[in-house]
Amino acid sequence: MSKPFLPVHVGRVEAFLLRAFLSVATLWSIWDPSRYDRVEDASGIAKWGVDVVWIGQPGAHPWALAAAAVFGLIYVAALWLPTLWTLIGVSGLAFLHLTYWTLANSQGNTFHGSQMTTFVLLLQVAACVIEIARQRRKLSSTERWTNLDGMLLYFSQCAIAAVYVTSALTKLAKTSGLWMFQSHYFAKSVQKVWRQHYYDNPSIGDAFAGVSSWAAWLAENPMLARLMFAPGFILELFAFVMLWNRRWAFWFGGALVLMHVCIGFIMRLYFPEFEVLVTIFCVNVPFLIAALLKRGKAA
Amino acid sequence: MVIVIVACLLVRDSYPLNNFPMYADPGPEPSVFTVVADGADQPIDIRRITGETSAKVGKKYVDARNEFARVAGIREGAKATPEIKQQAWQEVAERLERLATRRKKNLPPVLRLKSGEIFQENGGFREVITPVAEARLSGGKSSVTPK
Repeated sequence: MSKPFLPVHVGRVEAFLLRAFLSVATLWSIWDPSRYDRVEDASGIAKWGVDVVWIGQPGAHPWALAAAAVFGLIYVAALWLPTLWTLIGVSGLAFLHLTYWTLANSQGNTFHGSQMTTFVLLLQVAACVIEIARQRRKLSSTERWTNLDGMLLYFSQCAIAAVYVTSALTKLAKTSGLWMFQSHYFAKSVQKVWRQHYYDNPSIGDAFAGVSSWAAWLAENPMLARLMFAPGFILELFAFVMLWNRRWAFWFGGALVLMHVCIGFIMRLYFPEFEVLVTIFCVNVPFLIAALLKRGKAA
Repeated sequence: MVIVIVACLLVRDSYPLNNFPMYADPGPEPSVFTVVADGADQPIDIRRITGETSAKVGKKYVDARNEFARVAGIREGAKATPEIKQQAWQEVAERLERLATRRKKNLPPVLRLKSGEIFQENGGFREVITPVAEARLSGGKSSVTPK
């Protein structure tokens, strides 16, 4: 086992599955045609004048999907090719994902469900660039810089941890450190989301009429509400512990997925991309599959 | 990881950088939600018609209101005049109309924005809904100078 907080060595089967799963997740993230065909309030690269509108124009989406599929295939096939091909594949995926979601986030409201995928892709691009620079300088692998796929996994976990830790730090900053103490007021937020769901489609929103039973229970039991929300906050704040080693990544990843499932159950708020990425890179299903295959072969 | 966290906290909101402020500030202040209604004050299926949730409509309105207020020299968007609120809602309503048209659906000619507030008190909730602004849609002909 590697030293704490250092990247691990990733084998061929695990690497193949990690790359394949990320390609599919990226494709899935941009699967639906964009609802938008112009920028209303520029965000990110759109602010710098980069054209993101093209991806929302009629007829452009199938081409964007086809390009993502090609880049995904290159990214997976590059496992057997020089690092430059990995860089080309993941850069293409990052560019398409960034363009699609920058347009969606340039409409006067921010959607918080896709940033993690963009971060993972961009940090993988960074890992490839560093790897190519190291190769040019003829630097060999070290315990701090293992093989390329070890670094892609490590950088992806860093991106995921960064999202959760940032969220926790914002909570601390906005409540002067009192988030857990004030979290019983979350009952009101649960009820708000309930009302939002109702007013999305009031003609068919009967299921969300009135008061949410969860919100009512939380409002009546403030101490239990605090105890219920505290673990989620602690998980977010200490998400960086998933970088310790594979075992911690597995348990923290599993706990974060469970947290999202609970949020979905209580608030009907879903973060499917977060859950999928945490399952791929932290729970690390590819590693588990690779380990099972290895055990099967050995038997 | 530290670089991404610092960038997110400093930049706050510029895709993909974001400080993820969702539900970051639970407190006694009321929680706000958005209602979109027609000219007869009946809430409409805004998500089915435009693809946008009522929450997103609310965020778009606040963003537009703050921008119009900023241009008018008012620092706090919440303190915008009724005229500015009207102007901001008109712009957002026209954007929604474009989204509805793209989905081959229609919005009613009069679109009202209402703000709902939920107060958490005495182990329960109290809800207050107040009208904010009204927009008149004229088949895509904008009456407001876009930003």
